[in-house]
Amino acid sequence: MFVINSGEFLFEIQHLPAFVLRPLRAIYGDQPPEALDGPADFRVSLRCDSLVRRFLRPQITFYSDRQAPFKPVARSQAFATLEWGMNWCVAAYDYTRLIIHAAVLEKNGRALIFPAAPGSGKSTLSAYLAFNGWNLFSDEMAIIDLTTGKVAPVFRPMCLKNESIELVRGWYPNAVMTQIAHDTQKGDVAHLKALDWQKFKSLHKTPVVGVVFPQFRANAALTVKKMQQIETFRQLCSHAFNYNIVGRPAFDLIGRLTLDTDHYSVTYCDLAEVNGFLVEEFGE
Amino acid sequence: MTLQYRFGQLTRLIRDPRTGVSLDERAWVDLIHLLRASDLLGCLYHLADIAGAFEHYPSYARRHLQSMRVYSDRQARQVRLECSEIDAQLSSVGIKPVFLKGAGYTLRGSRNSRGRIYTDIDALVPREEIYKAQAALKHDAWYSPPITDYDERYYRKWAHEIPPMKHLFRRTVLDLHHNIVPPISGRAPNINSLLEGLVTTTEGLLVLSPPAATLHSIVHLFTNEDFTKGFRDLVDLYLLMEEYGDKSYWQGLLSLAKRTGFSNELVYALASLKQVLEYPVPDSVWAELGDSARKLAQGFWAKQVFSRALSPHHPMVCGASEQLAIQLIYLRGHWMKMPVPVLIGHLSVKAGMGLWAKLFGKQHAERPLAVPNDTTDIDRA
Repeated sequence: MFVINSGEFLFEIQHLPAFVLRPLRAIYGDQPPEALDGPADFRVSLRCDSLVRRFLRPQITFYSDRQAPFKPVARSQAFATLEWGMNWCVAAYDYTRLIIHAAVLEKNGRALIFPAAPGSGKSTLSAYLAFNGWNLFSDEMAIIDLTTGKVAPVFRPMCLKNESIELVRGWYPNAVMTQIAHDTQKGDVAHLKALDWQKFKSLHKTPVVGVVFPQFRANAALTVKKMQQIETFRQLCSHAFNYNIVGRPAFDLIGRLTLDTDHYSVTYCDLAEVNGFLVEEFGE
Repeated sequence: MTLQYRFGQLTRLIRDPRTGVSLDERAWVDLIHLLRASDLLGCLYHLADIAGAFEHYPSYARRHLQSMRVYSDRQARQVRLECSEIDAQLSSVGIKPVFLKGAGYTLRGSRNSRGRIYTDIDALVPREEIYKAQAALKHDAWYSPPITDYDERYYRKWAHEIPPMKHLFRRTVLDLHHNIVPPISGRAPNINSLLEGLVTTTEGLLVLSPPAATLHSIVHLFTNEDFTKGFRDLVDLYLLMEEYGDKSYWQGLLSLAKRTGFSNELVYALASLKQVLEYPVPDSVWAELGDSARKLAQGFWAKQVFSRALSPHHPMVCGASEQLAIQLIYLRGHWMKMPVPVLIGHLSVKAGMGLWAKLFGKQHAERPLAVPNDTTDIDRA
């Protein structure tokens, strides 16, 4: 049995095809046994349901205990579906924290969240920042404590899509990356290990000081606009998975985030320019 | 570790939440997963809270129970809103709906409603007015998702309800009923018997009396071929009886069961409650039910089948004998529902589907498994 401690959640992988062990070990293999000792929040499996498919173009289904939230996928997408399945578990069952669909990066005890629609270049930007002096707290989910308003670091790889896979591989040829899964619902994807366990252990829950809405545009000059508070509030609500379920505490927290942080929309082409702006605005 | 051992811990936890305080970590992990699979996490939160045990649970258990408590609280608010909207819309055309099952429990605020998870709202209207009710709701953003002509005919001719309606914006699902069991079964009771002693909630909505709500829950469970959520339903009955089980409640329930022809189902329910959850059915109730009921309660179905099929359908507590019981219930449910030639045809189709599922994977053979509400957008992450 393989266990993953993402920091906030412990996943027990009860059953999986042997070939998934390789990417699993590459991404999560540096977790020491003592980190995997606690009670499992979710028991998950990857299974091949179909007898025919076991021999003919095998398909793999993700299960959270007895529940299969997604359609079966091709063998090559097994690791990706496991990653998305684990995200699903958190989004479907945790209402004790505010969970926003956003990347989270931290520097000097100050965290920024980057809520963004798919295709905005969020992952490429986070990959760049993660290897340029920022700590990647999360690529997908900002998990924010409803009382303290602090965002938690998450020990999970980042999910690169399509062109950004080769782009990032070009920047960091030594980074640990899974094989590319082709033709998933998000196109081609590969998972990139952005933190080692040692580094992860040195990170702590951190106050959010800024909200940045990134938008990649080819050949665009860096344009930074201060966001209206009402617009930031609206965007944060719509990017939160569990806003309408958590209710009042989520409303209050997003209200506080809106009032207490600086928020910008950033249109960019050059990643170094974005980094320059972020360091200047939030770095110290 | 035997299957019975974990199941025993689970039922003890429901009966006496304080037993959770001394459970070890391993047991809690199993029980949290069993409760999650049975939609009972939110329910245990409230039971443990009332018993003063919640604060003494380990933080792992508290977190998962608390989380689904938040979820169920939100659903309860939603149910109250939907019901008052439906009531207002139907009242405007002179129809006063009665809310059944989960919605009814929530509107009444009965103990079994606390922490409850819903998939739909059930409302009862007079048979002759059901299409008028449907039309009125269509003026208020409710629609009937398209179904096949065969299904449409089936509903109109044989069923006790019309095809589920859905709210265009909120995606709530509404089942409009005119009876509690399909007329095709030949067992549909005179619905007026169940409507005796209707209760008006403080918001002015109608729900069944506690004995009628209990009987409906019993009939729903014990005439069904699908026991997937059977354990949750049994816990429902347990909590209803614990809360309302005084002398007049039992009299009402016994008389109603007799008049509607569901005395055997009542006996099965009481036998299962006793066997699975050790519910102390009053001796006076058994006396009233008589010798044949005692015999039925000691018989094959009550002793060997229902109690086994009512454990959560999870491999942790479900062994070969439980699987067999579930299969028997499936056959029995169909047997009672349809005439034999129809049944044979139907079961061959289903058996074929089972083989199909085994060969090609079940996602190609059936609808995806139910997921909790409001999570349909989650895979965008």
